[in-house]
Amino acid sequence: MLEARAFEPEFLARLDRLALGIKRARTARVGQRTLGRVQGIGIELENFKNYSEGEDLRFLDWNAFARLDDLLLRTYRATRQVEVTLLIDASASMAVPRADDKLGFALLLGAALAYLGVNENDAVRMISFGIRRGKMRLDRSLVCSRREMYPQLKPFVNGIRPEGATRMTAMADELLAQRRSPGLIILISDFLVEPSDYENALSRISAARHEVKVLHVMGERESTGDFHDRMMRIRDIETGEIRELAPGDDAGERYRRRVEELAERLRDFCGRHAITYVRAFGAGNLDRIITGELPRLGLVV
Amino acid sequence: MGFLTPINLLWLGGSLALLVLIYLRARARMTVDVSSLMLFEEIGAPVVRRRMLHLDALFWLEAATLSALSLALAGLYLRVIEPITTHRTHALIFDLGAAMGAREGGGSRLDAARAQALAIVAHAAAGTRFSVTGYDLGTHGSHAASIDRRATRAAIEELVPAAVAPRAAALKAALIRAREAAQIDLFTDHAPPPALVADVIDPARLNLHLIGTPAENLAVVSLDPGTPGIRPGHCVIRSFAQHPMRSILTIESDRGERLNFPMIVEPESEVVAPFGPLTRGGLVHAHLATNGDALAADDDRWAYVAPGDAKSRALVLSPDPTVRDDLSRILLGINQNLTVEALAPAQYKKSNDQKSYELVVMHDAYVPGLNAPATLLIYPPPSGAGIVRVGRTLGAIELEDRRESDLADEALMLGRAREVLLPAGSEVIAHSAGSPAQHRIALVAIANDGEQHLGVIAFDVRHHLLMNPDDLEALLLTVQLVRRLTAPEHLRVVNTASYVTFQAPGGATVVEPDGIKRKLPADTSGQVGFMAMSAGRYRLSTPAGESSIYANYFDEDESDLTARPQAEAPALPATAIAHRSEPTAAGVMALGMWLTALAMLTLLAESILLSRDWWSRWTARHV
Repeated sequence: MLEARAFEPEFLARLDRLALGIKRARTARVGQRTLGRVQGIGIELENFKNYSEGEDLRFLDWNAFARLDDLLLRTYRATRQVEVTLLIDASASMAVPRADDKLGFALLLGAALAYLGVNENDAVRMISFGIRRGKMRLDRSLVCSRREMYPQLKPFVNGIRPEGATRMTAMADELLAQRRSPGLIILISDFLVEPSDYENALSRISAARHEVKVLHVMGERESTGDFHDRMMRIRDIETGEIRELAPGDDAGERYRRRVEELAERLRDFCGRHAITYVRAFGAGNLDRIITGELPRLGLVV
Repeated sequence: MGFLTPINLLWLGGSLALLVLIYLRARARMTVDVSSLMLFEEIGAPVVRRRMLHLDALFWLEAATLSALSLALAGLYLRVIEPITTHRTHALIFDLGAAMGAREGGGSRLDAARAQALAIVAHAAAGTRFSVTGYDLGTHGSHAASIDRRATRAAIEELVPAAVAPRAAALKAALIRAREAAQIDLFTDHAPPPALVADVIDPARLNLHLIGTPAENLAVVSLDPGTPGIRPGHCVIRSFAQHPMRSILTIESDRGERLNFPMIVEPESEVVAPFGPLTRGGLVHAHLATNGDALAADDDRWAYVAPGDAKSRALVLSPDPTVRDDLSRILLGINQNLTVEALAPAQYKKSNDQKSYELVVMHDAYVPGLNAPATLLIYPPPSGAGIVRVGRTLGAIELEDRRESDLADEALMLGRAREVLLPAGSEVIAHSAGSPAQHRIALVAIANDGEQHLGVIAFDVRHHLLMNPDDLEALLLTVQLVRRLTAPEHLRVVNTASYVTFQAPGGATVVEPDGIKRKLPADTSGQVGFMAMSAGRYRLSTPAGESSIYANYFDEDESDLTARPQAEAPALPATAIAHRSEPTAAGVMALGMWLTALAMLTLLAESILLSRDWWSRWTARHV
């Protein structure tokens, strides 16, 4: 099971020099991720600047005025903490092909990103979602905000079992019904649903002012396609629908083209809606994805 | 034939069954579980050639005839859903915040919302009553529930966005107002908090129309004109764009100075543009011209700085040297071009009686006959101060909790204060705490004494009251009053959402930035007032002359148009909304006539086929 690696010290040591890339939340905390200076109400005094008409008089430094005869405005660093939510698709489709251990791969990536978050003292939680007994169910982990709390995610990660169908719109509704403050949401899934479903879900989450990042996960065998039999019968693990298949000589090529087409459509949607899209195909590419793809696409810095 | 014994036959049958099972098992293809059939859509399926039914037209026609007649005799009917069209109310609620004025394509976001609302009105069932409500700082029930479609359309067309950030409380009030409606359509550019909606109405009755797509915007955040000839000014520009934007910042004063700053503003950044120092001062206007800027309301900002060519003088009189020191610092903080003389009242009488001052501040003292257009009386003496009569002295007084200030969660306890009797037509800026029915006294007020402006502060400012951070509200009131007294009477710079008052006993006419002219009646104290809801210049005409009010607008949340929801998110086509939301009742539509007609048609078709066969056989026999 790949997710077990997420708590190995050697693996975590390689993550220590990375940090989550956050844009829209515009945190102003000191650290690698400071992308823009935001003045806000906080505790930490940042600077002084000259007062100009129309600015908030609450921030005038009257002691400085008494000493220097100059109206100075105190500026503070906003101390808002970024909430990082890792949404893991735990539907039945994540369990096949069994040899790919797609769910384990998704959980490993999710846990790695959670580790990056708690390293920066952000409030991080993992949520697995899937249809259980006809209803969308979101299983939530503890909220971890310190590095020492990271091992407490282990029972949650090990306890996730793939089951049920994927309904991303229902997941978004359930999520937004309970969450309030905007933060960073990272959605990890194989996105094997109707495009309108994930488009609707991502639009709603973005509309709630969350910064959204998408990690598109597929297994090695699943993404390449390999057909030995001339005739075969396939069954959709989520819907139970059965289809007869007669792969021709170009079946592998057609399959890969279809996979590419679905991934391209998702990437295109994300590009148009300012959502970071990262393709993570095949657990064998884990090192390249974490140290190459994620920084290149801005998911980590 | 011992072989054909019953036992052997059973064994034979069992063996054959086993063979069949093995054969079927061998033929069966292995079923492979896959994550989704979507991945296999381009791979072909085996071609199956199998015909289950023979196509005989006469058989099927007769079967159809018999089936239709049987169903007609059985009384087949359809349950239909019919809309109820009587006494139905439909509430249309519009967000009128500044972001709804953002330009997109050929119109604003509010224009897009209008188009959707008009489509709903056009497709609604007859008898539907529509109400139209807008909200920004408060609610505007521009159109009560009515079946008059023309009035509804007119009310929708009349909506205009304000240059303010809409308040959640206003949205809540609008939803409460629409609570009785069967359907509520909310047109906004950002989704309201689900908890707010659920708190007021059943969320199932709310159709949310999210308007707008992410857009780019630059905003002028603040403008410090500096001090003419002494200190440079600066203008702060914030980018809410995802791309670098080229823009030109123009700083212009009404005394002929004009500076241009072409710049490229980086995405999501803040730029501080220094300029000057200006040589002459006056009304300073910063204008940001940018291609592709979606929101115009935050592209202009005005500030007033006292002209630097005439050095102004102010006189501070107080028996307490610490009060003189505090007041002098505050006056210099407001205007660095001011020359402040601070004296004890007794010293003044001896030497300085012939000078002219822009402002005279007198604390716990009154010296008559001073030559100044503005006078500020602080804690006036019990013997009276000109037109202000002074009553009893109170040991301690509590300042009211002022609505426009969110600084004080609790009322501020001040020290001593004196009850002042103000002349008619005075404007009271702050009272002591208590309800109007109780005995409240005026603590901060402004009055006109002929050509002279007179400000009054009734509480004592000894013991560094104005410099104590815990008593910040007292300092803010003092600064506000000094600015009112020293600013030109015909010119004011305010923020949008401010309530602006003027002394005009005969009423006034105001021309808003968009050119709309309104008459303002005077209240019982001879004042006129209006709320500045648009950014730009208001022109106020009174019998005494014309005044200009410049309203500045900036709000971080409203100006940030990059995170707005996409148009395709949950919005439905207007027709679909209209159909989906109609209340319905079940009805029954009998199908007997239709089935009988179908049977007759099939019989007719069968007759034609039979006739054609007969004719072909007959002709074949006779050729």
